[in-house]
Amino acid sequence: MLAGAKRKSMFSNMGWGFWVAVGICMAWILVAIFANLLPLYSPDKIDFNCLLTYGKFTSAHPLGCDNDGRDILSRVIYGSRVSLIIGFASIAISQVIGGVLGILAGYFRGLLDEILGIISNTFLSFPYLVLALVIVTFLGRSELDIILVIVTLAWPLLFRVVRAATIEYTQREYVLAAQALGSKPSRILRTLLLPDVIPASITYGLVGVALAIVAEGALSFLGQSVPIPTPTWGNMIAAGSQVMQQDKPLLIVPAIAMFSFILPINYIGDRLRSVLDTRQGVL
Amino acid sequence: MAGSGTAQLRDPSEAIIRVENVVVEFPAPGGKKVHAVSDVSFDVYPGETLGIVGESGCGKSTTGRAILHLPKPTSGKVFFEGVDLTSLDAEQLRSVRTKLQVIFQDPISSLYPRRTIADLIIEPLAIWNVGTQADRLERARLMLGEVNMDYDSVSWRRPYEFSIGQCQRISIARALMLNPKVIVCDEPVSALDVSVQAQILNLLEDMKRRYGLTLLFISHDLAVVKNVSDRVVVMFLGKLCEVADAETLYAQPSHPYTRALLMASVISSRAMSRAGGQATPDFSGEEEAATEMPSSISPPSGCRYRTRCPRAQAICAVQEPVMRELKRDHYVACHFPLGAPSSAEAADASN
Amino acid sequence: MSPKRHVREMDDLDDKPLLQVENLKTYFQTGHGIVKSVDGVSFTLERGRTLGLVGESGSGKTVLSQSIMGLLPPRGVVREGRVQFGDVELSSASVNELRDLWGAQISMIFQDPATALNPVVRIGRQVTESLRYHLAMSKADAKATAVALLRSVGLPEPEQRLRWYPHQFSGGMQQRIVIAVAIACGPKLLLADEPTTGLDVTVSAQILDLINRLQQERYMSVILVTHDLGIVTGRADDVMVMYGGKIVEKAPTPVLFRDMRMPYTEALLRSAPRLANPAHSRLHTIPGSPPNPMEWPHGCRFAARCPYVQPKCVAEEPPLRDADTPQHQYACWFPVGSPEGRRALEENQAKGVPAATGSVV
Repeated sequence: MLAGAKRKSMFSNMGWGFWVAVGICMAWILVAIFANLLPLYSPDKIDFNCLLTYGKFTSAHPLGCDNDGRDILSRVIYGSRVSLIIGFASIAISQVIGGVLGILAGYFRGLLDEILGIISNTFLSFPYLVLALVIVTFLGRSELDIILVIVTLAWPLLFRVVRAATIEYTQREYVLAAQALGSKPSRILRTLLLPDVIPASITYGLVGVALAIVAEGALSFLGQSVPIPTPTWGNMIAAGSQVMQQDKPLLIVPAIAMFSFILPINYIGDRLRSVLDTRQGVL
Repeated sequence: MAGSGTAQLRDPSEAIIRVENVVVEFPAPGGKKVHAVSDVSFDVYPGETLGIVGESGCGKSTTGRAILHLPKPTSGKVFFEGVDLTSLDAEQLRSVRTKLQVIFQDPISSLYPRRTIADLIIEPLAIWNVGTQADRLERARLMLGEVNMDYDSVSWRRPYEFSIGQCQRISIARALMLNPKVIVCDEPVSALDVSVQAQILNLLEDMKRRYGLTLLFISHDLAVVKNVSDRVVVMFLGKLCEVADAETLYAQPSHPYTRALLMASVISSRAMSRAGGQATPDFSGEEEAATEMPSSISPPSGCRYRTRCPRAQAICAVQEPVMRELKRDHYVACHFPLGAPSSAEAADASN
Repeated sequence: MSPKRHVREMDDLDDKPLLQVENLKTYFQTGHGIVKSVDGVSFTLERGRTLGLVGESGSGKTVLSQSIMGLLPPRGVVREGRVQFGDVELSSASVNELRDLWGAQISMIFQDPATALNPVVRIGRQVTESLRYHLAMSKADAKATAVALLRSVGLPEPEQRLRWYPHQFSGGMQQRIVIAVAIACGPKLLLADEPTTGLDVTVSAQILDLINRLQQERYMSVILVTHDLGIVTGRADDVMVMYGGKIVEKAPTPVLFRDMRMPYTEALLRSAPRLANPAHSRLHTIPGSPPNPMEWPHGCRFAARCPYVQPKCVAEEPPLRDADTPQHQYACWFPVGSPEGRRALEENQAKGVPAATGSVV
């Protein structure tokens, strides 16, 4: 690198697509947070007029009604809340669990790594549907339970990502130099490894959020997700698929809503990952 | 030639570093082992510079790492100030590190790129909780000045903004922060241009004198090793070939491998010396029989150098030569050393 | 129909120089400014001669060799000047024309043989590839030629090892294979960019001997790029020393070592440790560090670090001029060994300029 040169911020080269995606995701997040402030019908409110205009878009219900007479627009908005909470919370928790275990396994290797490897592989090799059904059967179907299901499925994947990143960074010579100076492992993990592992973990995590939201949808199809009347994108799509002929909006609207969030967030995670990889190359 | 034999070890109470029968092996695919270092012993007195020289794969860097216990050797003992490091637990070993420092071949990658130079230099003091932040920065300023860098223009910058030579200076400054007794220099100038190399070598000599350091200087470059060392150890494929003081080794090499190394280096050195009006010793002699480096997974039986040695005979395949003293402070592990009696003759003579 | 040969045939060149470089400049446009790596280099190279190109990091020597060949990135590069190779003007040749020259008439070998060889292709095929493409040899002929080539570069058991992969060979052997690939089609010019850096000393000596031998056998010209003056002695007919993107001295090798004029050459020679010197000898150093290629200083580019520096050096850049012996040129106002040079040096030493170890920033 030339002496005196400064590095450009990583965000200056992301391209307009990236920022559009960020805008869309931020919009959804704001909508989910401030749903109360929007002029919407209550998502639970059953409106008989709605039942009469079942399957059609009217001025009173611009996105149609579901088969119980609830306004789809407000349900999709409030449903974003639940879906996003499930998506982000489950991945965040998985990152903490997978991340902590991954960094320990990757740095210390040896017996600890082998044991954690066995545990995580066991989780991974379980047929995920069976695991989901078991948890849901014994614990119930509240949002928290669904989050737990996704966490048990996702943490081993994040464990692997963090472990691989840790192993790679541990081989860098500055880690050896720190060990030679007498630095404690906790200090090395904290000051030298985390700053590089966390961004990697976050970028994979963003992609994971998209997958988690879709996973919730899959559980809905099995009838194992959060029960109606609480709206989630997943259970709306599931309900809509049952009444596809009569009430197309119930299927299409939440599907488009889900798609319009997971596509951009997937793209963000992917772009961050590719930018990070080339930067690590420079490092 | 074998490293087995400890004839070359001197008084243990005097040595600051003493390596005894160190073996380092790594697992290789197929259940095999890489014999990186096989039974190596030597010592270093305080204030001495020991040069460890050899080509790639000889185990010199691995030996350096073994002394530093990064990681600890497969077997053998490493004494530092009389204490056997292999017997220490993690905490005790950690506290020894303040006195036993290292500088690496690639200075840029040993400096964490996200930190400023100031942070990097004071890191040793931060790790050991020495002094206040102000004290630490003061010492950083002092040490950077010692390596001829200006604290004010340098401290807030990051490693990638500097040249390799400057980064090596920073690494040296960092190594000196804790006032170590010994610094292991693992090929510290191999990646540098000749003129920068000269600056760094002079700097190391200055620092050694000023701070009473003991240096372990690992390199593949014979001229560089001669320039800095008091005593030199020549290694081949994990074993020791010859141990002698620098002048003797270069003027009268006994081991065929030492001579082969000198012959290869001297061609360039000779013309350059002639240009400077100096004479070079003449290293004409038999060429090596082959130049392939034998495998370190299945090294040759007996003397590991025999497949390349122009003087090898039947016994060399059967019996590993042991280090023996040729004359005062000159040891060689060879059955047929140059200009000296063969091991058989020497054995007869001593009977 | 016989397969097409991709070779640019060249007329008999014995009466003119093989390579003529005139005022070659190579600038790189980066986000931070323009890097003037090669800033006006001229020289000629005859057939069958070896030219050593010596310079340190940042001198522009690698860019020069790549620029001669035309191996530069497609964008962001400004290239001026003329490179005449036989009857072809390389500087204005199209990529297709260059492809017919590369490997066939001009070859290049690089520093790290492991990265020059394709790790997933057997070495036999890497050698025969060039033969079949450029010379349109049949598979059988190419294979026989490859075996002979590998034998001539000192690879043991070449018939068996044709099917080996690069990683199965040591660094020295890999470099020999690279050389075999490079000379397979009998190029007239070989550019060797630091071919022995990173190789062991015993292996280096052999690789350089090999290049010398092949050069004599095949009447090939070689440009040997290196940072080590020691490598060129005894192996190069002529030497060019590069500093700051320009040639600062060039001469036949014995003349250079006996009679150097440019203070940088002298400093470079004196800063290398010698086997003949006693242990703990103080090494001569060149104070300071090389200048920034984005902003070459005004006047002589070595002035800031030169022990002979005078005000004229900073004001005016010295041109390359002839010394007493023919073919010896240097660029210095106060050259080594001249009366004005001696006076300048004494003056500076009395004043204590430049400092022996200046601040390096």
